[in-house]
Formats: sequence, C-alpha cells, structure tokens
Amino acid sequence: MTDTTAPTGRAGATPARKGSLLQVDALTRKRNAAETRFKIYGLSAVGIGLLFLVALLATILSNGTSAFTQTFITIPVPLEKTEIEAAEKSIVKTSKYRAIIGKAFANVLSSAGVETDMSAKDLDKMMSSGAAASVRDFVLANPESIGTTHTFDLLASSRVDGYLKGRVTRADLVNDKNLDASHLDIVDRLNAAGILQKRFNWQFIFGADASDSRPEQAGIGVSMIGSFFMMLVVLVLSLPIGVAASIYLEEFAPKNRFTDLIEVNISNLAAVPSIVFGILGLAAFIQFAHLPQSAPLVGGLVLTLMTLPTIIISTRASLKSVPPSIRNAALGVGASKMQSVFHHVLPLAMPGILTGTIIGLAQALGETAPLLLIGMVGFIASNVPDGVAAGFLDPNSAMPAQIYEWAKRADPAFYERAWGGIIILLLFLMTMNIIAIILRRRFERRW
Amino acid sequence: MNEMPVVDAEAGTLLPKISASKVQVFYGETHAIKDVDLKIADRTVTAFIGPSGCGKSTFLRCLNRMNDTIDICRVRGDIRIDGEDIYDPKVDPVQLRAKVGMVFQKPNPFPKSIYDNIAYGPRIHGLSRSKGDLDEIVANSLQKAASTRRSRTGSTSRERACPAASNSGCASRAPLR
Amino acid sequence: MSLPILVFVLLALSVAGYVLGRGKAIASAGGDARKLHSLPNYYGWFGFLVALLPAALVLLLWLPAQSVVIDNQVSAMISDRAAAESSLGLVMSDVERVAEGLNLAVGAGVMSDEQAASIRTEFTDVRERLGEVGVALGSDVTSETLQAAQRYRSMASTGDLLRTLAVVAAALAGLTFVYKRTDSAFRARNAVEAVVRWILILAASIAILTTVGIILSLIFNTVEFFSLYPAWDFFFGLTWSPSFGGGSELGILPLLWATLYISFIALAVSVPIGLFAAIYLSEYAGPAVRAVAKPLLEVLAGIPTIVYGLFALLTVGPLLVDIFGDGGLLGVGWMGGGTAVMTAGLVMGIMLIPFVSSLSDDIINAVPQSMRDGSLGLGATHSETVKQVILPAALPGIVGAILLAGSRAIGETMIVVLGAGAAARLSLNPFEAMTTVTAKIVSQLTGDADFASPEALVAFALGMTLFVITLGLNVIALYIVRKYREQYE
Repeated sequence: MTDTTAPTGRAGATPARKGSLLQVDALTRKRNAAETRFKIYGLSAVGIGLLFLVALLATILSNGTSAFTQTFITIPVPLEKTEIEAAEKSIVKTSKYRAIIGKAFANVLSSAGVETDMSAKDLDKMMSSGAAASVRDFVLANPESIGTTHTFDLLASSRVDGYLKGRVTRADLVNDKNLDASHLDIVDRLNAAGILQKRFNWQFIFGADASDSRPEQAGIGVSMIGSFFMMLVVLVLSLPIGVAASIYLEEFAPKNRFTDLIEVNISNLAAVPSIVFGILGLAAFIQFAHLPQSAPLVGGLVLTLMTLPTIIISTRASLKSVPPSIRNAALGVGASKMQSVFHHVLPLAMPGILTGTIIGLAQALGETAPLLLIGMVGFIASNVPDGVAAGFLDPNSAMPAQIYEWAKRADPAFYERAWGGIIILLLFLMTMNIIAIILRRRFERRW
Repeated sequence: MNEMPVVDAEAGTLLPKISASKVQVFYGETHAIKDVDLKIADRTVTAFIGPSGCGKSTFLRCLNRMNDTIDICRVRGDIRIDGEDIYDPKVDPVQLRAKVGMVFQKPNPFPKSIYDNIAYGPRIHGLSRSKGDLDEIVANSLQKAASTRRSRTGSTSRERACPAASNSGCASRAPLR
Repeated sequence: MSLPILVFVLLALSVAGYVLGRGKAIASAGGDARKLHSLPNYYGWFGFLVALLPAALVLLLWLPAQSVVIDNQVSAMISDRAAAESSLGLVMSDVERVAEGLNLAVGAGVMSDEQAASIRTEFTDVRERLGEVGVALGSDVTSETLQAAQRYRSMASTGDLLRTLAVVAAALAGLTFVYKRTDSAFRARNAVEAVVRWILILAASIAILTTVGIILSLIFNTVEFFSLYPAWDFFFGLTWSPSFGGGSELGILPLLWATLYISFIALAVSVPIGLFAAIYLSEYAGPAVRAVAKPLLEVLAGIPTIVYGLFALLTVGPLLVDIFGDGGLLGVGWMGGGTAVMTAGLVMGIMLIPFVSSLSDDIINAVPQSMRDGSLGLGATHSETVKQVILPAALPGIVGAILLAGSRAIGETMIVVLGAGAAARLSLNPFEAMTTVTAKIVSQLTGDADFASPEALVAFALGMTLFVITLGLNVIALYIVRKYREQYE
C-alpha cells in the first residue's frame, strides 16, 4: 500500500498557490475554459455525426415517399369486338389499342366538360406508353369482356405524375417535347373532376422494372425476389460453413502455422474491398466454372464468400463466451470433445451465432459493387421467375443493383424510384437488425 | 472499514491541516466507508494500516476528490483542508488536486520521456516561468529520487523515477528529452 | 441417368448405409446395444458417411473431367477454318446449344433418338426444328456444327452412363466395407468424429481457398493483360483513355491520384469528427447519452453504400454546386457539375465517421484506468489528461484505425461510381470530376466487351493494384492494432 496524499501547497515552494480553495484562481479558470472548449468540440463532433444521419434519413424520406403513390386516369373503354379483332390482326397491336384508348379518353374529356383542340396523339402523351399493353392483357385474359365497356385505371405518364407530385413545374416544361402547359391545364381540370388521381402504388412494390421510357411502370418487386434467392444461397452456405469453421478454430485447432494462416486470412478477408470479391466471382464462377451470368446463384456465392469472415468472427466470439466449465462438465461425465461441443457449447452459443448471421445477411443484402461485375445490373428484370430453379439460375437483378440502375438513368422520374427503393431496402435492413437485437436481448446469457 | 485506525492529531495547537468527520462512501449500493472521523496535523507523517480492501485507498481518494471520476461513487460527510470544505460546490477539483497530490499504489508512467513525465505536473499547473525553471525542477526531482534510492534498497523507488516506456521494458533506455 | 436422379440414388444408398451399419452393429451385439463400443446411431452414421463420401468425391471429380474430355474431342472435329471465322469458343458454345436443343427436341417427343443422331443439315432445317422446341439459335446450323453437336450428344450420353456406373460402384463398395467392418468392438464414434473433424477443417480452409482464388483470378488475368499492354505504361502512364477500337492509353496514375485524393478528403472529414466523437462518448458522455448516441452513430455504418452513392449524386453534389458552382452562394464558380472529388470525398467521410469512432472508442477504452488516475491525481483537467496522456498512449492504435479507414476509403466503390465522375484527370482542384480505380474496374467490366481485349483485362490489373494496396494497409494496420492491444493486456 503506497497510496499517499500529501498537501503540497507548502508556503514558499509555490507562492502563487497560496490562498483559499474556495476561490478559483486565474490559471485554473483558464484551464477550465480550455476544458469546456474541448468538451464542446467533442459534443459538436457527436452532433455533426447525428446531423448527417438526420440529413440522410430526411433526404431519403422526402425524396422517396412519393414513389409509393402513382397517378392513375380512370377511363371507361368500350371494348368493341370489331376493333379488337382488327387490332389483334395488325402487326403493331398495341398502337391500335392506343387508338381505342385515345378515343375513350377524348370521350371522357368531353363528358367532363374539358374543351381542348389537342390532337389525339398529343392527348396520348398524358398516358403511360404501357397503358395500351395493360388494356390488351386484360382483354386477352378476359375474352368474355369483349363487347362490354370496362372501366380501366390507366397509368398517367411520368410527367403528369411528376406534376401532381410537384416534381415537374410549368417552367420545366418549356423545353420539354412531350408535354406543354396546355396539357397541365387539362391535368388540373381532370384532377378536380376526380378522373385523375393519386393512389397507393402497389406496382412499385411488387412489379417489375420497366424500360427507360416508362418510369411510371417501374417496380422493385422482381429484383426483391432476386435478392431473396441470393439471401437463401448466402444463408444456406454461410451459416453451416461459418459455424463449422468457427468450431474448428475455436475448439479444435492446434496452435500451429496452419491455424495462424487461417486466422490471418480471415481477418484480412474481412477488410478486402467488396469489389475484389466481384472480380473473384467474375473470374472463378463465370469465366472458369461457366455458371450463368446475372444469376442470383452466382450473386449468392460471391456474397457468401464476402460475408463468411463476418460470420466466422462473430460466431467465434459467441463460442468463446460459453464458459469452459460447461465443456469440462460434459467431458467429466465421459462425453467426447466432439459431443461436448455439439451437445452443449453450440446450442448455448446459438443465439449469438444467429445474431451474427443476421447482421452478416443484412450486410450482404445491401452490397452492390460485386453484383455489378457479375452482371446483375443493366438487366431489365421484367419477369417474375417461374419456379425455384429459375429463381436461382435465371438472370435477375437485386434490390441495390436495381437502385443503382435507376440512379444511372437519365429521366429524373427514375430518381424518385431509386429513393423509394432505398426506403424498401432500409426497411428490410431495419427489420433484420431489430430481429437480431431482439434475439440478443431475449436469449443471450451473461455468464 | 470499521476497524480503520483513527489517529488523533495531537501535535501542535493549530487547527488540524485535514479534518474529516462522518465520511461515508458508497459504490452504487455498497456502503464502502462508514463514519470515518479523522484529524491530521500539519507537517506530520500519518500512516493508514489495514488489511487489503479495507478502504484505505478509497479514503485517500476522498481527500483530493479522485472519487469524483468514478460514476457510481458517492461521498457524504465533511472533509476540510485548512478549514475549507473541499466538497463545497465552489471548489474546483482540479485546483484541489494541484494542492493535494497523490501517488498511486501502482507506478503509472505516462507514455512520454522521463523528462516529460516529471515535467508534466509543473507544466499543467504553470509552476515554471521558463524552460530553465522546468529543467531545474526536473533535475532536482531526479536527484532527490536518486538519493532516496541510494538510501533504500527496494526497487519501487527506481520504478517511480524511471518510467519504463511500457513496451521498451528497459527503464534506463527511456529518453530523457 | 441424369444428374439429379443420380444424386438422389446416391442419397438413397447412403441411407441404406445408415440402416445397414446400425442393423449389423446391433445384430453383432446380439440385440443388446449396451455391448457396443459406441451408440448404435454412430454405426449408422458411419455407414452413411462411408457410402456417401467416396461416391460423392468420384462424382465431383468426374463432372469437370468429363466436360474437359468431351470438349477436347469435339473441338478437334471443328476445322481450323470454322474456328478462324469466329472464335473456337463461340463455335463450341453453338455446338453446346445445338446439342442441348436436340436433347430438348427428343425430350419433347418432336424427334426420336435416332433422328436426332442422324439428321443432316442437307435435308432438314435444323434451326427451324429446334426453334419449335424453344431453342433459339443466332445463325443457321452448319453441317459441321451439327455433326459436332451429335458427337457431343453421343459422348455425353456414354459419359453419363459411365458416370452412373462409377458412382454407384463406389457407393456399393462403401456399403460392402461397412458390412465387413462393423461389429460390436468397432469404434464407430471415433471414426465418425474423425470424419466430422475433417469436414470442420475443410470449412475453415475456405478462407484460404478464397484468398487463393482471389490471387489466382487476379494474377492470371493481369499477366494476360501485361502480355497485351506494357506494364511500364500501365504503372507510369499519365493518361487514361480507353477506346474499345484499339489504341487505348491505360495509365493508372490519374486513377490512383483521384483515389488517393478522395480518400484523403474522406479521412479529413471522418478522422477529426470520428475521433472527437469517440473521445466525447468514452470520456465525457454519461451512460444515458452514450446509450443513445453510440447506436445512432453506428446506424450510419449499417447503411448500404448504394444509399451514400445516391446521396452524393442527387443531394450533396447539387448542394455543393449551389455553393461553389457558377452563380452559387460564394460566387466563385469552381464547380462545373455535381460529380466531383469533393462530393465523393465528403460523403465517404460521413460513411467512415462511425468506423473511425467505434475503432477509436475501443482503443481509448483499452488505455488503462491507472494512467487516467495518475494524471487526474496530479491535478490535470480531463482534457489535459486526454490530450497529453490518453491520446499519446492510444496513438498507435489510432494510427491503425486510420489506416483501416483509409483502406476502406480506397476500396469503396459505389460512392465514387455515382459521385466522383467518369473522366480520368490529373488535377489539384477538388471540385473537378475525376475517376478512381474502383469506378474504372466497374466500367471496364460491365460493358459487353469480350474478356480478351486489353480494355477489359486492364480491370484485373487495376483490381490487382487495389488488392495489393489495401492488403498492405490492412496487414500493417492489423499488426499495429494487435501490438497495441497486447501492450495493455
């Protein structure tokens, strides 16, 4: 015991120090001011960090929520037998359907009392170019509807949609070759008449991507399925492999060079840029093994290799947290080492392992760069895969790759989709992380 | 803690330098020190003796308010130095600690040269007007430490004087400047 | 037998192995499981593994071997002339498609097996007939291709038959071995555990395999690139102007410069903020503030990089133009477009804040309490303690953390692809668009260029450079951090 305190304020040695403790001297005041300043720096650093977070989330929400509503035009279209038959015989089927819709639209306008001297072609620009196809699909699916008048909710064009959402202003349209101010006058009146309205956009959540000219039709649903199949691959491969590797390293590995090599490898792989894994996937899986390009299977394999180090590191931590007394107790009643691990240590470590795996999956779900190299981008994911094998092997996109694809397109209407896609992606990530937190809270044991 | 020997300050007729009454220390829920009353006279050497963990350090840490740095630690009672309550809200603990120094059980050299280690205290308290002053203080301290070391054979004082720049291991290699 | 059926048969045989092993063991102990060395299930699992593993190994080795043998045989049939017209690889992929089409046609009942083996281009329009079963071919089938395809088919069917025989034989041999080996004294548990142990080792080795895979895929393609393009020009060239028509200049220096410039800005943003935040949270903040602020900051780390990329492209870029662009707030006109080194650097800095702060937090917490006490006991204020004692003590660890953050910044892709621009440029102006190593890897490999051109292969050389730089940084950083930890343990 050598702790000692001694009053050092002896007379003579430090004359400046003399005086009452109750009065703060000048130097101390100065030092305390420095202290306060330093504390403020720290506080403002935390504040700036949080401010960035708030700014990021606010940007995402303010730009993305509008993707969840979409403008529709309600038009009763008379499906006359002769016209439909003529259209089906023609080579350019959809353009004939467009004409049918255009006529119906003109009727709607006149019955709503909207006077316009615009040509049918000009009026058509207010509607999505996908409208004709959706009418045709309906007719082909319901042949009994021919001869009746069916009321369709058709997608308005992205400019009209943008005008109602405030993205497109009249000033923007001066140089626009598609719409002009007179269109917008009609839009205003149709909107007032309730023929044109904004609705919740299910197609964005469940639909497929659309080509460059039809942002109003683009949805993230198909790439969501692509992401889902990729995550299946990652889960099925990385959980068992990661757990097996961790068990070996934590419980069985002797201290030798081989073990050291593996350990160094794992910690380095965790820090290798993700794009390098994309190069590996391109060279190994596509060039060498001839697996199909753009397939969720390949994406899943690449992401598996990428998340393995994360999962191994967290699994080892949870194996390590199981106290040795458990192992000793099992060994003591005659279990083999292998039995003690698989019967006792592993089940006890399972909540921690699952938490780590979910966090690894969340990381993989948001990863984009490696997917670019194996071709999961630039591909229009327009079809829902028909079956499980197709889900793994047919070309598809993934949510982040789809967002990237939209961000690259020229039409700003796609930016809204990209932000909306980010909201969905973040919702998934948030759910996964919350599950991980709940798992940890409920099942984690403190020894 | 109840057995802590209480030494009355009997030397001198002056006010005791340090006086403590009804000092209580809590670590969270644990009542670590109960009702310590103590007077220490000026210019005396006082020793606290007791078994390990009986609260000697905890009490010492009350005297320069080092316990303030532990979140869960609360101190009650009255401790006065020169008749001034050191737990008065007007007292600045930094200024107090300049007056009430403390040497810890474990030597804890800072990751600096020996010179900077010794100069650290005088520097932060502005005790030197010039570089020369500081040099003198350092040289003095080193000499005093060396003389103590000669008079004793223990190794503790050597550790105190020469910070082993923790990773180099060899104290003598620690740079002087 | 087709592959899925074969796998199913193999699994069935393995289950048979389980039943056999378990049954034989119990029978040999006279029905009393207590006389066995191991639990009966271990005998079962031993049977399962011995039936499955060797046969599965045979199958795994057979698959690539068969395709290599067939490829060699069939490609020998293709004349040099046909190969010279397009490339051998293209002709071979045609052959495979035709063969696959014939299989489909037979499967759909459009052709009989003999017809498929004997049709001639001279008599039938193969393209049209294959089109009927849904195999679209790009061009008409030449007779040479068709013959090669027919040969391919016949070899493949022979190969499949042999494969089935080999795999089933291996499984049956396993079963025989199980039957002979199993008796009550056999140490089945030890045998099963040894196998499981090897499986564990194999799983752990995947980390090494991945690294080897990365290195091999980079090295092979990089060497190929350097055989087409001089290494000197690549490493020391000052211009980057790829043109797929040929005559590209592929100097890495402009890319490397932009990469380092952006990383520097990112670190200049993230290190002070992250470090101060870590100091505040670990030294000053009360438990309540810490419990709220720390996870919130870490949310920044959990946000995917594509989100930051979009943030840079659509929000930060235009914002910076409003400030520094023509007619902007400052009226300086430094910035032409939203994509710039500054845009990418700033956003990357935001992304790295939690990375720096959580690493520094760990490191600051590792500084022993006695050192804080020593300084406070001497009457230092908290900030003096931090600045003069804690930071110097934590310095190596913090340097390691900064290096790790730097390696992150250098390898970051999505932010620079979207936020930094596409033009390679050697410039000091941070408000100009430049492009980085990672962005160019993406752009050189996502086109439809064939992999043999130097313009595509250069991506592997870029990847190699990137890998070497980041690996170097990581190794140094991890070494420093580990040494630092050991020092205070």
